[in-house]
Amino acid sequence: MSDVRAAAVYGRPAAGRPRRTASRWRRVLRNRPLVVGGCLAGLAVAMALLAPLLAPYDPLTYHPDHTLEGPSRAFLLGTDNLGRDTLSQDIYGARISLAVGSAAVLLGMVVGVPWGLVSGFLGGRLDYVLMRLADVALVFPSLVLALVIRAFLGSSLLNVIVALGVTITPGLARVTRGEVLGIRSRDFVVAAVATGASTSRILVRQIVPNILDLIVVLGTAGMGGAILTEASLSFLGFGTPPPAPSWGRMLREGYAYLLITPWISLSAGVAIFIAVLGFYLAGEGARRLLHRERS
Amino acid sequence: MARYIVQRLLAIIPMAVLLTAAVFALVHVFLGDPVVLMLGREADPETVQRLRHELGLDRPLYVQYADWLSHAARGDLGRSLRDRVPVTRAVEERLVVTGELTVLAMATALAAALVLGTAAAVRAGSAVDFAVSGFCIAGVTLPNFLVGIMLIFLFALTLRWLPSGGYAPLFAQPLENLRLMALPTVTLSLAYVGFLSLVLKSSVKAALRAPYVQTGRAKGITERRVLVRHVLRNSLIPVLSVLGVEVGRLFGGAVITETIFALPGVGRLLVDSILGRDFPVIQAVVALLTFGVLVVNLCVDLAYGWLDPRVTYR
Amino acid sequence: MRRREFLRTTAAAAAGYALARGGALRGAEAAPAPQRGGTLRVGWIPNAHTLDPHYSVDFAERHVMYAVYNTLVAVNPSFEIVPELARSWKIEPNGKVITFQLQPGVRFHDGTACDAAAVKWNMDFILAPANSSPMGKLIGPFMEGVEATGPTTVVFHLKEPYPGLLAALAERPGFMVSPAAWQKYGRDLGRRPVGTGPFEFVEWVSDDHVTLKRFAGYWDKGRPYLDGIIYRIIPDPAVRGTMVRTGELDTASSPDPKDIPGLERAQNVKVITENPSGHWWATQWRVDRPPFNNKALRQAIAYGVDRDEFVKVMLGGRGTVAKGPTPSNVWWYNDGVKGYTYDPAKAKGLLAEAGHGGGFSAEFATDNTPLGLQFAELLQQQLKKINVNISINPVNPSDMYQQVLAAKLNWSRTDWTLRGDPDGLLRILFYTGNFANSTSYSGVDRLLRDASSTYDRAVRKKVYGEIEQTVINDAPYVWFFYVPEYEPTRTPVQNFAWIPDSVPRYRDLWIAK
Repeated sequence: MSDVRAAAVYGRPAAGRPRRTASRWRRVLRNRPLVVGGCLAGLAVAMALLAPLLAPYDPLTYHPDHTLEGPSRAFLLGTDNLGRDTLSQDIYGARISLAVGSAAVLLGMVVGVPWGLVSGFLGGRLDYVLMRLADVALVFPSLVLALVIRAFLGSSLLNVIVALGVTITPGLARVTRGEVLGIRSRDFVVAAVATGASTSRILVRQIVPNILDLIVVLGTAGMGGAILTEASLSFLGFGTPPPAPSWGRMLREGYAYLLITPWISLSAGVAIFIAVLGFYLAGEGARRLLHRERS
Repeated sequence: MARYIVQRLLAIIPMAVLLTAAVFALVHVFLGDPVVLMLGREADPETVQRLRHELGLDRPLYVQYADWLSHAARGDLGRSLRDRVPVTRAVEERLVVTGELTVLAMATALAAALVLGTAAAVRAGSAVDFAVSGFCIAGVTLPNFLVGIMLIFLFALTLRWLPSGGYAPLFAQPLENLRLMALPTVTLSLAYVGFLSLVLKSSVKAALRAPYVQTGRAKGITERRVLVRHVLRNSLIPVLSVLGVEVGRLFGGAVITETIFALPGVGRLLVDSILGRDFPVIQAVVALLTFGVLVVNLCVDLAYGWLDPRVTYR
Repeated sequence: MRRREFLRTTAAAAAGYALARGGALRGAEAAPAPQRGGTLRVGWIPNAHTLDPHYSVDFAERHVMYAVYNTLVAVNPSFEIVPELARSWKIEPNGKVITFQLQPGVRFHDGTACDAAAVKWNMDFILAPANSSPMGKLIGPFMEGVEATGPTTVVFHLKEPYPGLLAALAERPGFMVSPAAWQKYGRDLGRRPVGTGPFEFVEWVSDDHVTLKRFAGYWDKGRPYLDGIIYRIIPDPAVRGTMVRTGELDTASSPDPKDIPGLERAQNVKVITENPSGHWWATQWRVDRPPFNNKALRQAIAYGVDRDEFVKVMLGGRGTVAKGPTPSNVWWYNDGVKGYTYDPAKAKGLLAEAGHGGGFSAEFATDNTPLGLQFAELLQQQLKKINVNISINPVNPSDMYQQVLAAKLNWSRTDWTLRGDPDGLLRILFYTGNFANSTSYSGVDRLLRDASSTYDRAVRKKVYGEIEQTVINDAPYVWFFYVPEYEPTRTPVQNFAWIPDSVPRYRDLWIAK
């Protein structure tokens, strides 16, 4: 889910100093998207962290006498073409998806947030150039951009992360810039400028703390998008290289065996859906919370 | 107005040049040599060298780009390295398919969103609202390749009502064409049904509370008329603005949809030409995509004026 | 009964070629008479870019070219040379002159005659370096020139005796293109082919389908039986099989081997199988650079893979383990050649001998396709057992061979398909310095020269046995298995027969009503 999409649905959060009250937890619990999303995303995170405890088998161990079997007591979701346990692959797949997704979001933030900060705070010609650059990048659909970058760089886990990170960056830069523009004109920043504080000091001390919550919200929602794009890339054959189990690749490879055993594709598809929906809802819930706190 | 359009169109040119130059450089630096690919693994080095020279691939990069640009400006995008078909023809053939797919998907999404979004807004808080919202969020977050695979599994493999893939020309075989496009259209549109419905719902809800609607009601205009004449017209503006943003993403969805359903569209052409190192085709598709997105955004901006008389163009 | 069989010549036999009776229709004589009509819907593999045989390199292109064009001679299912456009030929005792007698009255689809002059034009075209035809490199080194000595008589002059020539003329170099069409279309001919074949070209919609229709003026009267063929491009192997099952296609090539049991059980579908086929899978490495310039290490890995398990897991138990590059159903197969067995203990011993007793790690490159990845993953798991750890490098299929040739990849997966003559494949892979010798292997040059300097098949067979044994022992390649070829078809479709080059021929099929 992109920020633009979410902003169009729920309106952009208005700027305002966060108000922390005792009833915050109650509001969190009443926030249905946040609760549902948090649970689903939590499920994905738990699968990733506890994979060795949850998975009945090592995801890479193959059973040559049990290839492409349907669900049985030994293999709850059946096996794939090499006789590997589908359930275990689904569970370990969470590790790949979340690791790739969070690394990509982190990369997007490390580049995109400073980009937006500088552009928004310094303004002028630099701002114009930086934002046109973001526009050019935003013209490209993220899937196509990731596809092209990944094709250029060759196949490795790192390259997939870079490709995804690049697609996230310009959007983050744009939103950060918009936020900075709103804060820059406020009293405490004007005061800081007046007292002669250095630009970097103002950015770090005054502005970053005030947009931190928004960044966290954007990052959560961005996770969903990154996981989805990784799965799409893997589906097209440009994703995480084997043998690491990846949901997108399971879906693609399972597609060939739909009539023999649909469980490989379907279970991986459901796993992707849960993770994406979880992070999307959690991001939306957090955005609403922020919106209310700020207004 | 005319001046505005011309200005916007002119602004597209530097952006297109910038993007194509970037892609040109990246493609040549990273993707490696297409010639060995063209000749196959039994080709010897001399033949490779000769063909490379024939195709002008042994010239410096900037010369190749300038050459490409000057031809492109005259509408000549060169020939595909793999098929030796003029690129314009290859793209044209496929543009028909992608065009039909995206137009059908968007029309479906808009029609469904008008019904679902309005219904959810008018009965806000009801079971209808809840069901629609749930459906829409699922639609937005379901990966479209999963949707496509499930549709194939259900309608093509199990029930055998519809074909699992392929394409028939729209004008030569209209019925077969619609049968073949049914599943891809649903696959591509589902996310937009969900998304546009949500957008429409929130803007209709806002519009229903607006003073002019209260005034209209007070004047005794029927609820239906209020809805269609006043509320919907104003609520379409945010829908339009997100449409502009979404065009690029729509193409990303088309890449996946065309791959699943074996449709010969531009999306698959892009993937195939990346795989086959077909430089002129990659270049042309990227240029076309850039141009398309920018033009659609312009059209969206112009449509604002039609929907909202307060908007003026400078 | 085929007309061609009446026209069979004794000339080849006189030159030392014992021509077995063509097997293509041996069973068909008792079978019901072919019926005319119907359009065949074929599930076609992707990647075709041109239908001009002079520039064709992709495997998929041959599927269609065998319907649109005729070759000068043909191969039958036992891989022997039989007449096609040439109804007979005679090889002079010195082995350097071959005289072909052509079928009279053959016309191209554009109405021009396919006579001796047209054949000469085609050969001259291939041999002219200026045309950059990849076919030139295949036969050019052995060819002196071609002359048309009569309206239907063509003489090939060779620099030296070359027994592989006839087999080459049964594939791409032997396809006859209309010279008039080339004058008219030039390189565009690849998108609107004009040949003498039983079907003429109608349209090609990129990435979607090629349509052919029956050529009424076909020289082999009564053929073809079909009204037309539609080749639909379906990239996914499993989807091709599925579409035959759902009735969207009549036949499909290269389905997913895993899907075969399901297809065989499906109603109204039969699967025509060739096992073993002439299509082998192997891994290769550079024998001239570390770490694989170590013969003990190469042999250790060859002993350390369980080929039976590969056949079981990857091919559903239906393939054949490969000792070397020659399957048992071609004439140059030698029963005495010994391959590697699965022997982990011996493998570990050889590893220690190679100086890797404590274990060994390497990168293995594979094509980024479902089957390629499956192969690599299984190899990775098996070699773990002998302390060899490999990391998988999935490479874009279209980049792969290029990177292998450029030595950017050392150890990689590969597969090749047999040619009509043993010299075809063995020379390009193993002759020192040959352009397709991607392992830098050297060691059978003299034997290869010996084997191709005579037309005597008994002598050649013996020498090819020696070549094969040497190559297996030196292990520039490690062979795994022959992939069975499968053609799932709807039951009404008749007359499909596999030829060991693995190219499905659809031209003689017919559909029972």
